[in-house]
Amino acid sequence: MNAPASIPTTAAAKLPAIREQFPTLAQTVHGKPLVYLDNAATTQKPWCVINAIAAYYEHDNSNVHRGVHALSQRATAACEAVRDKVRAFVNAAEPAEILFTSGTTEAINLVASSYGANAVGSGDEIVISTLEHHSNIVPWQLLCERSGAILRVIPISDDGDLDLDAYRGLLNKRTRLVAVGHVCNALGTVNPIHEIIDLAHGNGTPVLVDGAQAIPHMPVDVQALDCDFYAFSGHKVYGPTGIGVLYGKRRLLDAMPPYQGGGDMISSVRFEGTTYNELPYKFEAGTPNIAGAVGLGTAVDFLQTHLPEFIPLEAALMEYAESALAAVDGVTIVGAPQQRVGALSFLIDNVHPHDIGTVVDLQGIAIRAGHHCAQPLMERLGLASTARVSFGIYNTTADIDRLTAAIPEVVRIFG
Amino acid sequence: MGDLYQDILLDHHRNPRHFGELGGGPTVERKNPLCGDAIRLAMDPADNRICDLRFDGHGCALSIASASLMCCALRDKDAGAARAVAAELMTALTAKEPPDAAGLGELACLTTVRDFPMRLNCVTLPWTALDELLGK
Ligand SMILES: Cc1ncc(COP(=O)(O)O)c(C=O)c1O
Repeated sequence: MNAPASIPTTAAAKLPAIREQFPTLAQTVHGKPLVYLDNAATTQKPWCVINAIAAYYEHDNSNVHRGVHALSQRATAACEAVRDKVRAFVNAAEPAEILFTSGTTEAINLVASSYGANAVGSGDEIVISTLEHHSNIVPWQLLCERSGAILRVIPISDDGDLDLDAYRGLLNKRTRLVAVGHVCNALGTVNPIHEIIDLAHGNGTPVLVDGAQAIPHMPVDVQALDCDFYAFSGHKVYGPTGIGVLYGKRRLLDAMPPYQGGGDMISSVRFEGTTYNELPYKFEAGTPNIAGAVGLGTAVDFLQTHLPEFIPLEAALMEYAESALAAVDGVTIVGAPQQRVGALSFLIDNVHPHDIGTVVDLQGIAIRAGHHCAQPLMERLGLASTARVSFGIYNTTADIDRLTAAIPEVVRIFG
Repeated sequence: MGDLYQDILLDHHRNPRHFGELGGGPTVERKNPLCGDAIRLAMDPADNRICDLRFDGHGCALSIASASLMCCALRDKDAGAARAVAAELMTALTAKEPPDAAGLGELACLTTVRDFPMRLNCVTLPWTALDELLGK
């Protein structure tokens, strides 16, 4: 067993103050103080986000881009300010390259449907990987069914790392898009995304990055990565549900047909034909999730404030969790990727992950049990499901201690 | 909150009855999309009676115990009686008011899942397979 990781002390000293900003954390579940270790599914929301959404509905509620009145002006300005904030957050070249969606899932579906409509035809190929979440698999399968394209899958090692040699071999003149996750939600694998993108670009192929599990844990610079699309969800970065972001390079977005038709996405409508609005509105049909955007803006500020201290703290927490769990009799950690962030899957001998989840829930500890929307990965690992802990900005070593202390009870019941 | 993992349930999980070797009769397979668990059920019907009901597959303590208890409870019943037991259990699992589960015998231990709605599908998995099997 490794020596326990040293927790950066100044960052750790601030944790009580950070935890106080999250009202949901201050409750008991089944009579025990809540330990929330399911942050890869969704994070809790700080007061600043909750208050920003309430304040929007209290003072500014209106529709955007439609009225000349003061409230509409305020709501529109608030939305566009968030767009620019997100632009700066991921370092996009211009706000028009930031599209609001309902989440990562819709962002990926937008690209599959719109980019796919023009650029992907029969016999063309799309490359994904074994580590993908279902939302970065099924949209491409649907596109392949529609277009006659072929889905190619980058294999992984037993440790849970992508096989880059195999990836090189998959790229060819029919490859129209590479769509891969930045960080795997089930194993926490951090993919060598720079190299993946460089190899694709060497082949003349654009790359979509599913950033749902990366954005909460590391700074992302889409221009430095040179990715063509980058998708993430607001609710996994302390923002509300129902709002997410698709970054796309203007050159690609301009060439793509609209995704949905409706209000706001047009510049003029006549029954003889309609001309579409410019970016980003071409891809934002209908009334957007305005309150969601407002909440996302506040969440981005919150994350940016705390990320520099959270990164080393989380790295130490991950190391602590890995050695603490591995030291418990009967526990096996799933995978050993070269770099892991955010999520850690484990198994207990002879105990089904759902039963682990229920028994620790009765101790007030929230973890995820199941296939994590990554059934092809589970099949590759020869598992039906795993138990998973995943970290947020408020987790402490005491949370891990509560979990490891609960496991003997699991073993006692089922062992 | 009731005790979900009662001794009788854990016993059927550790030592599932009528498990494995499904034989040559009709079989059905059902999967729980939440966890990927799968149960296969097989029946050897003679004289319109379920003279043998067996299962295999992989699953959590609840789905394995539920399948094991089901096989025990329904052997030697005709299809109509088996359907009636299944219906009584479903009512006991889902009715608004806590049920009088006395008529369910050993199956009554499954009704503690009422306090754990996220786990209801684990218990019902083998019973939905039964539904399909009896329909064959
Ligand atoms: C890697 C990954 N991609 C995509 C998604 C889908 O995100 P959402 O459900 O917010 O659209 C998730 C969320 O679980 C995820 O972990």
